[in-house]
Amino acid sequence: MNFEIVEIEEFSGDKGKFYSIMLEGDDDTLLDQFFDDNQQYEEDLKVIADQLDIMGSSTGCRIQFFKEHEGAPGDGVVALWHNRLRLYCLRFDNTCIFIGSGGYKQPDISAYQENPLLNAKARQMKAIAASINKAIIKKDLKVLEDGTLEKSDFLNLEI
Amino acid sequence: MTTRRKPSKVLTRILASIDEDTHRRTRDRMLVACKIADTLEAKELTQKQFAEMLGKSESEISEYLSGKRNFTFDTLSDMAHCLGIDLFPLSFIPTKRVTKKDTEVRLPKTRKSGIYDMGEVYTIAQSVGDWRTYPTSGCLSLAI
Repeated sequence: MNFEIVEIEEFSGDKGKFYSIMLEGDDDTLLDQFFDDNQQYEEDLKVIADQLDIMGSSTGCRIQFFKEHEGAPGDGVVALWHNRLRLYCLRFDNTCIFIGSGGYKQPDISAYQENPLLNAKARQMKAIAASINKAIIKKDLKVLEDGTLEKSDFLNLEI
Repeated sequence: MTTRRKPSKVLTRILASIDEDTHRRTRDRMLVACKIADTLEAKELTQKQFAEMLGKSESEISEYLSGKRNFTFDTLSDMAHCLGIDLFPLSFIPTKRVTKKDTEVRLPKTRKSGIYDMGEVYTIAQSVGDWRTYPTSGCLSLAI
């Protein structure tokens, strides 16, 4: 399935650029779907949204704000979290984040692999990360110093 | 990249609902966390080592550095002391010499004054026409 990278202007700022993924046939991104699907956890969503906004405008997307080792070794997949809500992202560096989706991690679960929904979201993000990383290696996609993206005419992203 | 995205109404509503005070506090916590993390990196200290210096757990330190946990003043003071940095420039509070004249109570001429005795008997005359000044005294409460 093909996908596009869409800038999330609500969060992008001088210190960091935020992008999410729009799958073929959708008219909203995985981030939009994450907010819609988890609206019952409004207080947790508020904290996550506030932090994303502050990263874009004030601090940058520093690794200390994320949980690491959420994907395959070295693929850059991390999680932004508050309480038991998880949002999986591909962190390129302090200036660029690709945001996927996520969900609620039940209290009786210690690893996301134990929850089918969360596992599916994490695996989706891993696949997206693999595709984006491949495009960067092939130089079809370039992340500039300020986090903006340059894409070639040959860019083809799919999972 | 496409521009045909239909933003989530939930996202829009949630962003609009974040009040200024909450946003400011979160931002300040995250900025302080950044300064601490930068110092740890400069001093080549791990979070584990920092936790041991402070007598805290590694997970507590991780929470502080994530910007989610509210620092107490004592925790900030301990962290600053451990790292040898200034997290709040208290040394820059200016002081000035106070003269005797600065300690005198001055009453506006248009107002009547009263006195509540909270320890010593002290009276202040009603001001008539002029400003009158009187030295302050111990337990004095002025009702105007």
